[in-house]
Amino acid sequence: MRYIFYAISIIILGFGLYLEYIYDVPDASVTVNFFTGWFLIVVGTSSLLINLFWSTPKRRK
Amino acid sequence: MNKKIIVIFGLTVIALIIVYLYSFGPLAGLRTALSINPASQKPIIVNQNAPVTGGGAAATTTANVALVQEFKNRDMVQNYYHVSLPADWHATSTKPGEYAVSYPGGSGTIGLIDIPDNSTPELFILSQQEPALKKLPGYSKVSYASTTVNGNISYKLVYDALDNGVAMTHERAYITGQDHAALIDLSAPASAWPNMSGAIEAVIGSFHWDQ
Repeated sequence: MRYIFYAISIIILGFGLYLEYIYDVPDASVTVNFFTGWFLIVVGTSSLLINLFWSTPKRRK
Repeated sequence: MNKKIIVIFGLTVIALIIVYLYSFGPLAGLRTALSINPASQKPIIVNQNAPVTGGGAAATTTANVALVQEFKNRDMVQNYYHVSLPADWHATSTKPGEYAVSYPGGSGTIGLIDIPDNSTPELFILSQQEPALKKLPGYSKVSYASTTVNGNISYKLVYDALDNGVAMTHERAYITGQDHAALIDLSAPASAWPNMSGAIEAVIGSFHWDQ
């Protein structure tokens, strides 16, 4: 289950980076593209970090 | 919940607020502001006698071409450019990467145009730009030529059209670049065109991509 969240986070982050640095933005959409790109980068990065630091409580035997 | 998770969540919320402020909020002006190179605001004489690159024979009359503005368009360095304007021309920024210019007897714009990736500049001009211009009242093509402006392939379209009943001559120069093309669209009354064309050609010839 955890690996699915990793994969989704990386896809979100990758799409944000694509929009921000590779996509040829039409002039009329620069602001929306800036917002969407950075939104996805921030959300993707934070969800990756949350996945990394998420600690599940150990079950007592 | 883990303290680290709470911290990451808080930082995420703060980052999203900053992204919003930079996109649509009060900080958006910082992102899109035109940056004017202070050094280039000094009216400098480019060359008193030599012809300006890209201008025709008439361009030798451009004695007082002053370098006035340098664009820093959006956040994409490949679209930075600068252009020289005569001292008596007035330029105001209309949106990032674009200036509206006015001068005795005419007006125009200097800006960027996004040519679709599945087209070429010439195809774009002839199949999309010119058909739209043909709808203008009194449209008549004077000339169309492929040339270079400071090493960049460019296309110049000169046409006549009626603007509020006044016969105007327009010159549109499409200058190819790495990402966008530059579009310099300048006009003057048809009767004054022989006197104005030298300065207009000099302005077009002064265009440089900053790379």
